[in-house]
Amino acid sequence: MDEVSTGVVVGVDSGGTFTDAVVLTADGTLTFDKAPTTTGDLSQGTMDALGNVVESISADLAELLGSVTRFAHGTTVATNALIERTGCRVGLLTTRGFEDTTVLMRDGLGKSMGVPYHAAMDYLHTERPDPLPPKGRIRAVTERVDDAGEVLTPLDEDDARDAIDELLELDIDAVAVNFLWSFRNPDHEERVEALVEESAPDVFVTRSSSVAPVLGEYERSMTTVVNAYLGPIMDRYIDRLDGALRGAGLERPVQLMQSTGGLVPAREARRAAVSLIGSGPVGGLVAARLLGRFAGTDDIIATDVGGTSFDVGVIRDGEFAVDRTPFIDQGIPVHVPAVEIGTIGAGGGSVVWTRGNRLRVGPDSAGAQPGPVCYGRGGTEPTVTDALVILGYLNPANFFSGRMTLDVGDARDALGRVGNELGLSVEEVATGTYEVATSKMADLLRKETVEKGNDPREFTLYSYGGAGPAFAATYGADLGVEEVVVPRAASVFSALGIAFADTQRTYSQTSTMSLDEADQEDLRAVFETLEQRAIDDIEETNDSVEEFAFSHAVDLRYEGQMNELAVETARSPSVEELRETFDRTYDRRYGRGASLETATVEAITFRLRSIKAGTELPIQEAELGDADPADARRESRTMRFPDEGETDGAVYDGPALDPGNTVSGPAIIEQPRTTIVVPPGFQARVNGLKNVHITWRHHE
Amino acid sequence: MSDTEIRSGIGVDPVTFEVVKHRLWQINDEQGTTIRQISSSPIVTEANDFNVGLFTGDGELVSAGPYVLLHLTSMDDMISAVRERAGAIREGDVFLCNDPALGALHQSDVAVMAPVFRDDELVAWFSNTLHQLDVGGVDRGSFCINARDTFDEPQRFFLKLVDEGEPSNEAEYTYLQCSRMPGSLELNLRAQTAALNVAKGRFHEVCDEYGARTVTAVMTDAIDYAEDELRAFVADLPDGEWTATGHMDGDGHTETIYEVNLTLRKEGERLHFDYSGSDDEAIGGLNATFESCYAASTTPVYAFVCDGEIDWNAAVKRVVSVEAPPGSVVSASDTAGVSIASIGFTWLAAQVAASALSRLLLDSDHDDLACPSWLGSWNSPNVFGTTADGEPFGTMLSDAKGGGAAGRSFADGFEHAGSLFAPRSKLSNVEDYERKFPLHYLCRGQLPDSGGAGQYRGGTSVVSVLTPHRAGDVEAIVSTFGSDQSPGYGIQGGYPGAGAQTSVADVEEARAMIDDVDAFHDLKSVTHHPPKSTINLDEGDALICYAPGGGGFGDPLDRDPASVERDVRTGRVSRDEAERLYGVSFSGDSSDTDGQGGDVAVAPSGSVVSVDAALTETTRGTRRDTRREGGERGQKLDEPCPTCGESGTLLTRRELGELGPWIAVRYGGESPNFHAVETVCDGCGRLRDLTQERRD
Repeated sequence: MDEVSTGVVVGVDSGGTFTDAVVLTADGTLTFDKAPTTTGDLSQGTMDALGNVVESISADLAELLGSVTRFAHGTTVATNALIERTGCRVGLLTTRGFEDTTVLMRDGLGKSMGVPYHAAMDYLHTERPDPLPPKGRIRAVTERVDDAGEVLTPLDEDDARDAIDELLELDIDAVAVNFLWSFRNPDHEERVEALVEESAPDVFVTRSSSVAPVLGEYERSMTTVVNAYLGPIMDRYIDRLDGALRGAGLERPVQLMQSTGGLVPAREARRAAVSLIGSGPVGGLVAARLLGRFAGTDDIIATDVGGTSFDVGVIRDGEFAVDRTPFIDQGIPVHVPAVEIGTIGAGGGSVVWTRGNRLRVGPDSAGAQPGPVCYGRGGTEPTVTDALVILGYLNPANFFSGRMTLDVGDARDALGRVGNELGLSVEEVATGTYEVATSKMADLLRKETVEKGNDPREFTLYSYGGAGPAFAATYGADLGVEEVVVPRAASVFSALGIAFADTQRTYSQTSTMSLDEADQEDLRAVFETLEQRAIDDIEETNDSVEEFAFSHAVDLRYEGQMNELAVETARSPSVEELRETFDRTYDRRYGRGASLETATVEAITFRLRSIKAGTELPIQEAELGDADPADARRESRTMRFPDEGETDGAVYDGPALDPGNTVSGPAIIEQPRTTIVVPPGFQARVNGLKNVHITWRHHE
Repeated sequence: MSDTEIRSGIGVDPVTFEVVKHRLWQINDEQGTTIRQISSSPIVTEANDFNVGLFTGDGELVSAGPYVLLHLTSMDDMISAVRERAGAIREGDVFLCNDPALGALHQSDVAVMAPVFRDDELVAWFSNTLHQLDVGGVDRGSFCINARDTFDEPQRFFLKLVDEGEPSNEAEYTYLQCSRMPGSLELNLRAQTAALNVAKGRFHEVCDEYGARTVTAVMTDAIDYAEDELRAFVADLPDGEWTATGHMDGDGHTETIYEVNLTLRKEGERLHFDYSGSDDEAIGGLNATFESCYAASTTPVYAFVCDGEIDWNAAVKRVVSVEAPPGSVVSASDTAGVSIASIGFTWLAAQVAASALSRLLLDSDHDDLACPSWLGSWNSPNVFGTTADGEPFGTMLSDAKGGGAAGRSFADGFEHAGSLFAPRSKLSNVEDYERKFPLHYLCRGQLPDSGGAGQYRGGTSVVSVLTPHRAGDVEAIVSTFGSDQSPGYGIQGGYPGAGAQTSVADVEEARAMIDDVDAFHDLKSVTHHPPKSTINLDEGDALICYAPGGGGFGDPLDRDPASVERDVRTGRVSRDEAERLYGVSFSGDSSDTDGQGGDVAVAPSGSVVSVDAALTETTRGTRRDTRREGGERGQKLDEPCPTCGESGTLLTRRELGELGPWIAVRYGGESPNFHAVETVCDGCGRLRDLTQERRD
């Protein structure tokens, strides 16, 4: 079906603080709005945001939803439940003798991986996380398969039933099953899964040979456990959301954003909740890539400042960097590929506090409720947003499209309390807050670019998220990028990406074989298994297989090596082709002559992606007009900048700025739901899409 | 950093300093990433037994990777040797060295080194060093427990591998032929030289961008800044002397017990580690060179004092000095065997250094940095042999990484802590081993009661049981220590954790351990091997091994009963030992399962135990009284008892087996060589100290 011309496309991104909605109506108009994320019934935020859009275009919600051809949704429900450890009660079944695999956490890995470097190196103060699940909810089952897939000890079904009964007595909500070598021979896991379904049809059950049929029992266990930990939560969430939307007139199934940057039908996401973790910030990267494609920019640094965190993603040659075994939390690596995104706790809601004689910002956040002090919702701890008000960047009378007023007095009092502890004025605390927050952001940016071999000067930086454009010019200049782009849809950027993302599913299967011994048939056989799984999933949703493109990759290594190199390949490569590609990729990565022509190469894990291109973003570029922005100039306001002190700056009404208009700092551009800060010495130019491009005179 | 004065003459501004320093760190780290990706060895990729370094033109360490800490001070020793001995040093050269006499920790650690020139001036060095699986010598795996001196051990090389960009085929051939596994050696060599090339290329880019003068100024300033920070920290500590002693049980030829004695002197801004009184060098390959002993002494300084805050560079060398008697086990002569040093006397010296440093830190405002032992000894055999098809194989198992770390002054020790030397290393997956080698694991899991008892318990260890599977001949070469007394030292009255033991039993009988690890104690077919052993494993044999647990911190009777209850519920402490060691009484089994959820688990049996608080209080009071009734009078302590203020002490001797079920297992808990000595406050019965001492 051609979605572009016939229907309405909706993207909703439910974040920690706000829920954003983007709606493309049949006439090609893009409208967006947002509403606070509700903490109780999370689907309410979605309905509120949609309600705001409907109101602004004077449409009827039921009518609009009725003509939706694609409803795409991103949610942080899974991520938050993991990070806050508020998932459900999981029971884990393991091969007898290995019930401590998840408790041991591969030793040093559990303590020092998946945390920032400084924490990893702090030998005595960085604690190991509690095991998930706790040891008391792990039960062993008598069975054993070896590396060839041969059964050494048959499954003892009575033992399995006893183990299941014991877990059920512990009132668990979900069962994860992980046996050794199950990706070679899944029989025992499949049988135990059936036994659980028999004993407790209402209990969510997930097995490793289905979720992650990949070598390495610890990572496979954690993938399965986390899937079980979040499955029932996502189930309930999707039910509620689906119910609310159907009640309001939606006929098409909801699609959910995954950590790979692609969408899947919500029904599938229930079974694979682990693939949703970290999906929140990925939407923004998808949108940045879409806009970049249009502008002819393939190298992009995408930065997102939300209420609680600062996220950075890098797009190189139009491709996301992908981590095949990402850490989704301290000590928890999973066999589910994810777009690489760096994050720190620094956002608009980050709390300003003191320690000794030092001013600290974050990582704790006031979140959506109660939020910053100036919101007047009962927040008492001063935040970054409160500092932005004092600095004169935010307009107390016209915040959040004029739907909120900010209480300057309360913000001043709260920051004043911090100032009293440090012997600083309110203004000095506000300036210091801005500087500390910005430098933390710049540190993460360097880590994600320079430290990974990317020269920032070759990149364009995109800034989005409600609070991002207040900081972007400063950290962009600090990093040394050529220009900073603030898209018109900056405040709902993730929702935009979600709305137009590809549908994508990823599959993997460990099937080790030596390329000296394997032939083309062996390779094809594994890929065919993966393709069949992909086709089954497509057909289950009544989509047409022809609309999907498949991409293939194999993780290869020299025999004896412990790490693999992922090599993209054709659908049915010959062994020689695969070997050649490997040697070439190897040399490119490790230097010419690094490859060893005489050594045997072995294939470890086969990977497949099925991709259906998303709806095209309707883009109409306007002619550039006059540079003079005088028509959009509204007022002059007192502002403070770190190196300049107090100064008068112009305030511009963003929507009134026309393509070609150029604003010189110090200035503020007030967009409907975000505020762009143009510091002294910086220039902001509005382009044909009404995106704002910020540049500055580079240091000599 | 911005308010610190600029040290170098050329005035690098604080921002440029931070930016360049960070980039240099990253460039060096990229060396490490490259090696881990390319290397063939789980010792490198999982155990992280390697390191990478960037050095000044003078060979001072500027930046090191977060890998094995011992190499932090040894890599520059080797660069010094190159600078002294090489005929010529030119752009494009690569040197290779594994000679302990020139700074290598043992022959298995093979370093490559490359000078970097800008405008004909030597401005920097890059180096990396990797533990190779086999570089020859009388024993497979090159931990030569059967060697008597260095001439039975692996060959020592000092080669110019690449001469002004021209690889020397002769040198490479000479090096590769030493090994039983030349393929693995070759792949690692590729990794090592690729890493040097990557790093050199990036370094030149930074020099192009900022100028070599700025870059070299940042390098020397970075060391100076770290030195300032470290000196300030040390100056803050009290002056004085602190001592520690460690023991090595057996040398592979005799059952001799060797002693390492350390006096740590802190004076002003300096730390001086004095090993006077340590035993003469041993027959066999366990000895540490002086350079290795130096590296061991600085390990806890890097780990606990610098941790992630003070840069890991040559600053430590400027603040720490070491003295060791020439010809001793910690400063061996050039002819002594040293091939097992890194898991022999070097490892032991590091634990002893951690103990002495912890005593100093506990007397300072930084008691939170004390940790007297961390995986007290390495107990993972090298396993070599053939598959059923006759293909040769060999590996070092990493299961020892399941050992524990000592209790801290504010919290329990880390369970399954990995190694002090390699903070980010990881235990290999069982599937990785079973896929690559003809081995089959019966079970692997936590070892109950292996963490030393204390107010803060030592970390729990891991036990592994494995057997040959579809194998031909299989040989396990064991080299550990701590099968007699335990090197999992506790402190301030904390008990030692489990020792280290490798045993073999009939595989069918050993299956009982799959259900219950404690079945080990009842195995009739078991043979407890000495800590240095060569074991032939047949199809019907099960190899059982565990590494030390962490030692406890403080008197076990002071442990919060709720923590003991949690330990019992999570299976880390058995109910019997909870009552015996901690004096905690329980109010019987309860059928009430864990209804509340959250982080409290039920005991594996499914039953819940609850502490009987009143009874526990009474029991503990009685225990303290009993302690005061026996024992001979000991010396008065400098520090009065924190509980009652008295300084007088009573000494009581105990068998090691009374401290826990996994110490001196080889001797049924009654070591013929050691006993424990309790130092008890004569005022209140508080346990002030507990040491493992030689029987008279």
